[in-house]
Amino acid sequence: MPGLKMTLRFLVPLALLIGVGGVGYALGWWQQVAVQIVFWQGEFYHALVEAVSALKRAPDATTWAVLLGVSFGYGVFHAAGPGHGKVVLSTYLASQGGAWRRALSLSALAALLQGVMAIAIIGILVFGLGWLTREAMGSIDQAELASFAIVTLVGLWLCIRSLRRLWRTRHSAGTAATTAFTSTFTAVATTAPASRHSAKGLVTPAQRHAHDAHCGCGHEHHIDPRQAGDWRVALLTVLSIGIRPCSGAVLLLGAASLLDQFGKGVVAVMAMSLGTALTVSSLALLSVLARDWVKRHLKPARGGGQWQSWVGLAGGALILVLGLSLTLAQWQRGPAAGPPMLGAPTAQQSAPAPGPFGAGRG
Amino acid sequence: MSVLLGASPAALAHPHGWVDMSVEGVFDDQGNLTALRQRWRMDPFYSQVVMEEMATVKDGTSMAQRLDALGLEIRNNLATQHNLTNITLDGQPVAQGDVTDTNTDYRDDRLVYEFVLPLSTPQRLAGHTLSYRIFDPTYYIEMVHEANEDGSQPLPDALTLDHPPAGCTTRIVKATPDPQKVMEAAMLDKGENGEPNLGRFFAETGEITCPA
Repeated sequence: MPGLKMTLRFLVPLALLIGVGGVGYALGWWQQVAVQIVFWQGEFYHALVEAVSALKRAPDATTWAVLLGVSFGYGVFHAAGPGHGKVVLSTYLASQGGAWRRALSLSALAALLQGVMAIAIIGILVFGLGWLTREAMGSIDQAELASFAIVTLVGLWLCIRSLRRLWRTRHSAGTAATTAFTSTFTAVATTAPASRHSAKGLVTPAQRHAHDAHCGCGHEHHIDPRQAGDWRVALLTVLSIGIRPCSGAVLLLGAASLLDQFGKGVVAVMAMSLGTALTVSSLALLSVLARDWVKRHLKPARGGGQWQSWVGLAGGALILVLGLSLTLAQWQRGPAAGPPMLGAPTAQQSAPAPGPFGAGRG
Repeated sequence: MSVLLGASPAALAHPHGWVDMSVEGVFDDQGNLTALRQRWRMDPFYSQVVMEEMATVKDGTSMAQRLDALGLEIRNNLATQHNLTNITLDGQPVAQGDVTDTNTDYRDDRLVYEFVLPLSTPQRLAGHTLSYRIFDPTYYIEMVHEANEDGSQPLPDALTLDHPPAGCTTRIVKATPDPQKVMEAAMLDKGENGEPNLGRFFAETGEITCPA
């Protein structure tokens, strides 16, 4: 009974995983880790401020090394907290397919873009347009709203794409010509070693008809990551995460430039981005591994393409709902809170067009 | 996992600046505690950013005048939030009066805000313990007592007493947040601005105890 064997191979590790997770949850491990991360984030922030001041006093190899190390660590732990970017990316990767190389490049791109955005906000708004640093920090609010709107767009796009695929499946199922091919295909697919399929995405009905040179070998034709439209939504995902810089990075750059240390601030922010990239890409890799594992063990004998489309639809819907709820919440909340002792920046008359910015947050 | 994280995307806010505080318990001639005199030193980066703002004001005022105006603004902002201070006597809440003697200064690259927070009625501490906690509920700013280099130990003068009755002692207790409660708050408890109010979990407690 290959079915039973497969079920066991899937259920036993799953049960183990849930068991370990349940015990960990009951013992409060994850809460402890989360709270510890908050402590570390605070300590890294202290250390970061210290490191910039020390480098200003004595710019030598040691103080440089300390600044780079602390910035990198800040990036790692800053990214370790929960955030919508990681949810979007891991959901996107888990539901839409794509190899680990793509997971790595997307998450690295997103992290680097965050650093570049922080540099751009200070460089353009403060240096270029003469805004106050605190006003520039307030603009992160707008960047955040844009980020949420783009998340919504990504979700919408993914939903529409999956729905189109499902519709095409239904359409093609009606044509008799495919029936023989599909049954041959499922027979081969279930008996072939699962591992040989692991790195590949699942077949789409459209591609099932697109017989190429490799057709008939029994392998599924996977979704080509370079497929038209695919890279665009991937870049949009990167943009949705990267457009909102960390306000810690903006504050660091702003304060560094006020201390005439802008260049050092830029270097620190880039080191920070590398740290963020490390954490985010680890998470991305994890979701790709998890997806491949589930796919290996849950490979449906029938309607593989349809299954993939449904998963894609579910992932898209999740991202859509997340994007919508974040956008609405942000919309209703208005300007975010800053430090409790300070209201909105007071010297707005000196800035050209500051807009209704509150204080920074993040 | 996605759903779990998605439930609270901004769940664990973390501080983007800090304040080094020192507190002095002020006693009157009868040996009653009348006020908490506080000095807040804003972190170097936030100080820079605020001073940038002070420097750009073009209304012909002197820097000292601007700092005074800033001090009043800070006082007014904080007045709506109990001055971020919670005071209890043997666990019972103690009411505050209006802040007096505010002073704002820029010293050693730090913005320093000083004020006196009176108790609405002077408290007799003989045989009692008065506790206070000073924190930003949103945890945007981390409020900590002045501490040694690595932040592990509060400095002795982070909490002092002015004309105390003989035998009164002080103590600063570090926060030991209960992870489960923090996470519950992160999931459920949202403040006015939609952010979870986590600051209280990470607040230090200052204690003043006098012998009976």
